[in-house]
Amino acid sequence: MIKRIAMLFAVGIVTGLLSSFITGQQVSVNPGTDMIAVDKSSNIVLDFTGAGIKVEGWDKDEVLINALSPMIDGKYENDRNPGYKIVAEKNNIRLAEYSISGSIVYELETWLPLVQFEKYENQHDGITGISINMNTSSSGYSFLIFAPKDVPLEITADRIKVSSGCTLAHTNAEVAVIEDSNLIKGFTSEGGAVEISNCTINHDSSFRNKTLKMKGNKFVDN
Amino acid sequence: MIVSENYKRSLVAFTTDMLQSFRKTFIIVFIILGALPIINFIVLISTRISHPEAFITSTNSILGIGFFTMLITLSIAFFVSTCKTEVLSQFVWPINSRVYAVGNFVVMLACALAAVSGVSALLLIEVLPAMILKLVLKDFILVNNLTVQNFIEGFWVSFCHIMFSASFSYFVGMYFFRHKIIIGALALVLANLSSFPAVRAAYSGMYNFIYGKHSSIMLFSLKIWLVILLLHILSYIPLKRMEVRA
Repeated sequence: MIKRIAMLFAVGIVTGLLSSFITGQQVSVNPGTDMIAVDKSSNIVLDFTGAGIKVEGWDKDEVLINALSPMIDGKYENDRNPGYKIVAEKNNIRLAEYSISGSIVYELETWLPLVQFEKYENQHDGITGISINMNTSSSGYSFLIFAPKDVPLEITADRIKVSSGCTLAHTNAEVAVIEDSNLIKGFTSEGGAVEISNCTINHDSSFRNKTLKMKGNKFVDN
Repeated sequence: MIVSENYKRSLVAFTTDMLQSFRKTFIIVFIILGALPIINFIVLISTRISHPEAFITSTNSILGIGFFTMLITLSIAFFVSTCKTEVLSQFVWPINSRVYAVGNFVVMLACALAAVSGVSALLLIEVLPAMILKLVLKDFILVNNLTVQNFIEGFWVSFCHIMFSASFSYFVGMYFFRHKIIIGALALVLANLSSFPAVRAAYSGMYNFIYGKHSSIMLFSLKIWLVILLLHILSYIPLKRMEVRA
């Protein structure tokens, strides 16, 4: 019996060590940021087909793209396994080779009791089992983009959330939520559901969406 | 020397017999635990097939689940092993109270070691399919939180926790099955006393002493093993009075 327990111990230790060796280093799915200089005299085209994006306006002349980690707390390092590429040609910014969508992320966890030690306390978020998200990240948005407030944006993505004083010329998404923005003359919206609140909307705008919800908007002629 | 030889022989016989009786429980628990990662991967693959666009995360951990399962299983097993019928079935000449007490401690050590070792061995059932899926599916991302250091440290800490939990159950069982009414009433009183801030603070202090945040594994080990030994020494008191059947 003692021999069997000793054998089980040896097998257990060897298996554990082997597992930590063969699975390799920690891998990240949070790739970091991209800063792109843009020309303020023409529209900025953001083509993020296949992903969910949040767009916020800022006062700089650049577009900043932050990849949001599919992990809940973004606890992984930022420099490995990008899973996407940003292609920028003047004001046309496009998402390419995007692989986070439709992925399976399997987390190999270590022993749970280690959480009671300072150096391991952030290691676990608890065992949550399989979690399925029909969108591209845990929050539904994979990228947070900051764009100049006064340059019109033409956005295409699976899911869009626009806020903080953006100027919009066009949106095309399955779901678009637009808040506190300026929809300029000739604005067009296509796709599934669109929800617009607290925006300034030019009368010369057109909506070709399956559903349209509006709340607290101000309509202007020019 | 003869006494010592007899004592040694009795101890070996007792621990072997006890470990044999635990074998079936271990096999059943390990089979169930081993099936969990396989079921998890089947669900994962079928979800991928039915929702190809979905973003799927899975954080099932055989080490975490296995630890809790073994902690609960061994705590219940050692609590039940202290009931009168179980004790009397073991307490037969030449097994005396000393052999029984030391034997139970040795069995507990062996069981806790087998528990963490077995759970570690089952890790292969989780890792191998994950590695295969990583090779087969290009969108499979394996996030590895396991390192040599945290595996070894976790192995030891988990072993300590299982030992503590089993020892505590053994200690409670040893008193409870001998003085059911007194211990039951005492438990009720102690539970009700928690409404007093000072008593609640004392409980909280005791809890933190064992389970609270620790900065060092060495300090934690020292504290928990002192408590484990104390629990076994206290459990020996009611045992000493028991008679050996011929």
